[in-house]
Amino acid sequence: MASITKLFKPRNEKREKMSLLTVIMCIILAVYCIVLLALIFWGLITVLKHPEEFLNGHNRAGLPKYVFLDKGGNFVRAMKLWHKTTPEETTFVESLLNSILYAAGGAFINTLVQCLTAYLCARYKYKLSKIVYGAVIVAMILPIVGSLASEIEMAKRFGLYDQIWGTWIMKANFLGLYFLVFHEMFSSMPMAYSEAAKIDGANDWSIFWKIAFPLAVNTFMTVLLINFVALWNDFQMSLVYLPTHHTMAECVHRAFETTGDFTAPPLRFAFTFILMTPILILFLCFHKRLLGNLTIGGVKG
Amino acid sequence: MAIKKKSIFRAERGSLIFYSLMMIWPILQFCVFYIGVNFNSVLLAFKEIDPLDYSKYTYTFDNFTNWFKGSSWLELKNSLGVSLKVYVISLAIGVPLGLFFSYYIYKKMPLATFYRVMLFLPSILSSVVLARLYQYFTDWALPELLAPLHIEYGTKDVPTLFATNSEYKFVAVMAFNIFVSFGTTVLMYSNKMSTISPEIIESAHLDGAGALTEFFYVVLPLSFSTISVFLVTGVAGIFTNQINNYALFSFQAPTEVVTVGYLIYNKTRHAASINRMPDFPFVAALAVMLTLVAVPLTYGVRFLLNKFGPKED
Amino acid sequence: MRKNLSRLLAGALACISVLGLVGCGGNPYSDLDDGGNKRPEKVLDPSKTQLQVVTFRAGFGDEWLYELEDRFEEAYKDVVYEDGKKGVQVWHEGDTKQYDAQAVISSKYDIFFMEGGDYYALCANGGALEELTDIVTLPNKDDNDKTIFSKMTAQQKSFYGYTAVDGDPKYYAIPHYEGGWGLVYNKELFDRKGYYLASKAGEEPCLISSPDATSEKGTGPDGQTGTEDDGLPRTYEEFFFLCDEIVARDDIPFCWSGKHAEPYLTTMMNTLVADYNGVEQMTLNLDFNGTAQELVVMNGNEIVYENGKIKTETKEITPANGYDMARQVAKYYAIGFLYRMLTEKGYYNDGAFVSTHDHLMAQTDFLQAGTTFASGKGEMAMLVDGPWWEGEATTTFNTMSAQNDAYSKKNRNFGWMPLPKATEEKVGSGKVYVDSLSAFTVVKAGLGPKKQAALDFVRFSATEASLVEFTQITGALKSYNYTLNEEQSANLSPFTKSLIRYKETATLYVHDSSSAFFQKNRTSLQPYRAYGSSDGDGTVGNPVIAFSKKKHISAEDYFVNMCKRWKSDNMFQ
Repeated sequence: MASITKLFKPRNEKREKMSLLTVIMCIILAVYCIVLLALIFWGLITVLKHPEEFLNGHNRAGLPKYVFLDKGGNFVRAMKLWHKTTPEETTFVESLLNSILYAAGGAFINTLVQCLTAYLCARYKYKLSKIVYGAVIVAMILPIVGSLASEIEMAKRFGLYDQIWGTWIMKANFLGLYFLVFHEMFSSMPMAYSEAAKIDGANDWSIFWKIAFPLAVNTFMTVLLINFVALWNDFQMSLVYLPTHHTMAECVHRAFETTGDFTAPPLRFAFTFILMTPILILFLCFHKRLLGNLTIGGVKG
Repeated sequence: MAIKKKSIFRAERGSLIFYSLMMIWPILQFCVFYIGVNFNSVLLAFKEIDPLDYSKYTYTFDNFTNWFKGSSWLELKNSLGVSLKVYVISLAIGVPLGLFFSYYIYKKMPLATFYRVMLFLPSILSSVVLARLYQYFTDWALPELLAPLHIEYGTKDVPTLFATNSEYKFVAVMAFNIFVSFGTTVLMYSNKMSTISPEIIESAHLDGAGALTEFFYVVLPLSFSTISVFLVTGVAGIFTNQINNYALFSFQAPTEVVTVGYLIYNKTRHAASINRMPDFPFVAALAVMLTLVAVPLTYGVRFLLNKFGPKED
Repeated sequence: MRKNLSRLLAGALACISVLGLVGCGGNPYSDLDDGGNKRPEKVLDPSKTQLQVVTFRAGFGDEWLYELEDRFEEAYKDVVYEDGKKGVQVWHEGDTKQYDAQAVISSKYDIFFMEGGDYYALCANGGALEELTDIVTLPNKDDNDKTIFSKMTAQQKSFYGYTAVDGDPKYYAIPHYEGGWGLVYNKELFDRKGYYLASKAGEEPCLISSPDATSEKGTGPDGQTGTEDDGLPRTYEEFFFLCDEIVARDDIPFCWSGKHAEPYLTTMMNTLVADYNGVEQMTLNLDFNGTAQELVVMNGNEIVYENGKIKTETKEITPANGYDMARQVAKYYAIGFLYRMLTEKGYYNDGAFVSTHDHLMAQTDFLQAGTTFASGKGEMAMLVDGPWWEGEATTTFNTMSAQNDAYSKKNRNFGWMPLPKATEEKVGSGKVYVDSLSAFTVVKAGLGPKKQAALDFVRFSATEASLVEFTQITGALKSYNYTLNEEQSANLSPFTKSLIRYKETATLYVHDSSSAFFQKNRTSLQPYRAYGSSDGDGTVGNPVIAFSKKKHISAEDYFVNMCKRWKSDNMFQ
């Protein structure tokens, strides 16, 4: 009950009066929420219908006349038919493993490299630090369009193509918005901590690992989560770089393109809900962290 | 003194070694996968690869000139038009709405926390999930829901939004894209707005500023540094934005919604799927040409925003 | 975190309980196939030679391949291909990938049943494919010493005989299945409601059920009485008269998949063009080398008429002026046909343009219309699809026949419709059966000791017994000359029998050519692209899109724009 009231203004905080602008925004936002929840709800009730009820019974919008959960309903059937979505007949378990490796591995390596490089640039005032910082800014505002073909060629040349560890290597870069987030954070960390540690005989690695990183761990986890979610949901890049190691998102996409046993929307939506559920659980558990206070000061340079 | 100098020197040398060792991988990766890839992209654009032996190639300008001939030119012209339309609509509708939503959340208006979560929800769900829900809902459920209200939809005279003969496919796709676009931007904007000093707001209220005045003359200028990041990167997005076409249509998006970003991705994906290396240079040539357009455009917009945009001070 | 999880669980349980209250009672629907392994008892036996096969997994399914593998393994169980091994096991996977030479070389498969493949590109990249000349030309002991060669048509022999630099044709592939898009018609409906044209009693066409009609059915497109197509519309005019009559009786003339409307209808249109042109004139579209007989004469952007008819001319065609092939009068008529299909009110199903309405849904709508399974009014007269459609619709047939055996495949009466002719003069000019699938079988080169096993399997797949079995299982045809006797045909569906009878009296046109010109311009010559034109607002579209818009261009304008585009757009290399 207490947590529900957090959705509203806490009692002890003064609430500002609503103006016409905010009333209009409230209405628009309410409509937005209704539409979004309605879509998800409709998807859910569709999944709970027998395919014949949807197609032949022409019950496409309403509640299911019969809740199809026999032998696990469309959910279990989707998992059993998972292998039919791909030419290599990747099973549900295999694609789940691929997704975990692709998303977790890629997210971890990307976040780590960004974090580490940002730390080095923020705390070590060598010329290279300025160059690296500048490179990040330039890469952000210099729009390189369509380098995918070249990247694929390079990936094949280095033997990284169609390898999950290959994608980790390609993701292990410092470019991106979160470099700036880490950089700002490490820049604002008092030098006194590291100086004190040095006096106590700590080396550079110890300073990073035992002092700087623990202070940054919240931000690290936030960025890691955001990256994980993005990679878990990604199907376009895995379609290109991992043609035989199919991730769950890719299998779900293929389920809508495969014919045969996948005609019926109830089954197809079972695939989407299977994909969606881990992320929804993650979001519910960590939404405060995901919606946390990541800021960037601006792109200067 | 000498001992102290030595130990300082040793410590600094140690730091330098640590720094150098830690920087090896990021620099190497950057050189190969950023500089190398983009340099290779330029080289690739000039290649003509022998279809019978991929190791043989010649250099030519044909990959560039062929884009301005026949159906390739029509395809490019069409997709550029769509991309520009997308940018203008996003700028005109998506950005203002995002700012207003962020302001609402920043002011902690009723249900602000709930709305914040809901606005972010599409960003955490895979595009394939929401896109297909939206598409199937408009194709199958909406006609059934509107029929009792005697609203004609999903009939031969009034096709569904995504119907092959629908004239509203672009509208349907843009509506979806704006719908799912708020997550990160609203989060960033509202977080930035929350760093505004309350004293400034109070002083504006004391001067008689209403909500609109506060929004346009206080909050927006003070948040402009964050807004400008997204405005600048949005310009580059003209040529990379696929407007979720792949999630909605896979490789068969109708002409009226094909953006340049989708065109490039689709051609590259197709060539990669059948391992047809000779097709890569044609796409790379387009990529190079668009980059040459996008770079001055992005810097131009950035220059204009810096020069004429509101200052935080 | 725990609070959030418990909230989530509580919410989920609440939803399910509410929905459980809503949907109580037993399952009124049929059990569903869970896609389990069709040969769970088959396990890998390392003492046998292992063959890996890939098949293009689409309309024809793979049940035929399971059966083929079983019979081959049984027939060759005592053959030694590799030292220390006896017998062979064949495994297959299915996908819809297009394999080029590099992909063939690097894949794990030994044998490829391809569809839509580029045979000449595969051959040109020497080293990818195993030569099959011997198994094509030598007598096959599994087939009463018949050769595969003897079952191929002249066009196939010419096409598959790849001539490299040294000049002797060599075979690197054998034909697989065949098919193209046309019209499947609901014979039961036609019989029940008398949707047949009467032999001409007056100027205007009429149905046999009309009071003005003679009781006899008209000759049909072949111009002969007493044949299977009697009563079917002979000309486009009669065809659309029939469609109007169907609409007047609250039925729906056409059913097609909204998701695949463009490729299906365009390819069906190409079938109409082939049917008008005949094989020789149609082949001109592939190699731009010969004499074109009926090209529409145009004066600028205006079509020239003479005595109320379109004026045509004969012209020598070469790659230099090949754009003139756009002016074939067959194309003019076919575009007009498509225009009428798409612009007349009530002519097609509700899902005809719904983007998520796929071909299986279209087949379901077609099969269920007018039965207890459908809630809508009206039956559907014709389905735009290919000869594989019954195999694809197996699940629907099974669902329906579980309730009533009258709905089973063997009890439903459908037919492959002989297409009407564009003009009265063309009635009786013969019919063409179009194969636009480019389906063939190849073996990867460099298989080592397994090579003979692979060759034997491929040869085995083309025996008479295997061809017959393929037809019995899929209801469609392999691209060979072969017959089924009465016993073998006993369990075929009426549709498949109709298809076989159609093909027996038709000329096969294969949309493929060995000419260098075709090889360079394969993509541009596909019907989907070749019939593209400006629809009046500057974009190059497809006739299906152009004519289905509310404000649509006329068929004549579309044809004129198409001719202009062929000439001005540098379409061909």
